[in-house]
Amino acid sequence: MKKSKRVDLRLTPEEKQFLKQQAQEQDMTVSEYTWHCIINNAGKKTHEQQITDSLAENRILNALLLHPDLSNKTKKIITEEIKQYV
Amino acid sequence: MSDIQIIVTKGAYDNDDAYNCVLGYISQKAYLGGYGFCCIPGLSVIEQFKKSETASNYSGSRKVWHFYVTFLEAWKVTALLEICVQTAKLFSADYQVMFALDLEGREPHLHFGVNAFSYHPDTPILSDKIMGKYLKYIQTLLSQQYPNKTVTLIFK
Repeated sequence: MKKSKRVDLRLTPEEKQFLKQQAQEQDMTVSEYTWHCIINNAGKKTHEQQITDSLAENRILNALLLHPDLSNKTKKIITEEIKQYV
Repeated sequence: MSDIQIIVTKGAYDNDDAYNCVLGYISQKAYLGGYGFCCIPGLSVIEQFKKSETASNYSGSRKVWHFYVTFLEAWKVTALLEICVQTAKLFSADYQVMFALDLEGREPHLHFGVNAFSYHPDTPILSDKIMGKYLKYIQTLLSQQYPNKTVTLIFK
């Protein structure tokens, strides 16, 4: 498919130079390199986002530790499962 | 000796294996929990703590805090775990924390390992001053919840 659409990017001269250098090092045009970076990083979460998301899992596990209907034996089994990931 | 003691272990905790030592030690106990980590294959909890240091926009020598809470007499497991979760939750908005309940020995111990680096890159590190405020608050909270018990904060 013909690539006819354009995207304007506002950068400082230093940033533009850096982008050109990075593209050259990868033997790509600036357009190819920019798209390559977008595709490779699409959907990737930052560490901050991953940890923030993990709080929901932590709340569930901590709630199970406090659950009055669960025996101490069951809570120890939950602990053993967590230990495997430390 | 007071009924409840919050004991902060002295030490710089600036060595490369500080996370391994503290979290490795805590995770050997009978009951384990915390905030700010997920249980996934390929990236251990210790590595998740280390990543906060790498991602932080702040620098500092201390990597982790270790403190524990001891009780003069035996308590119910559920009551102790409630204190664990309540205390860990105080740090959870900014700092990763792992807790454990240790029932070996005569007196129960609650252990806490708190990352000195926030998982938010722009949040300052858990300095002596900030940690001091947290610990004082924990002491106040426990004193209010258990008015018949004496609660002391000790650095040793």
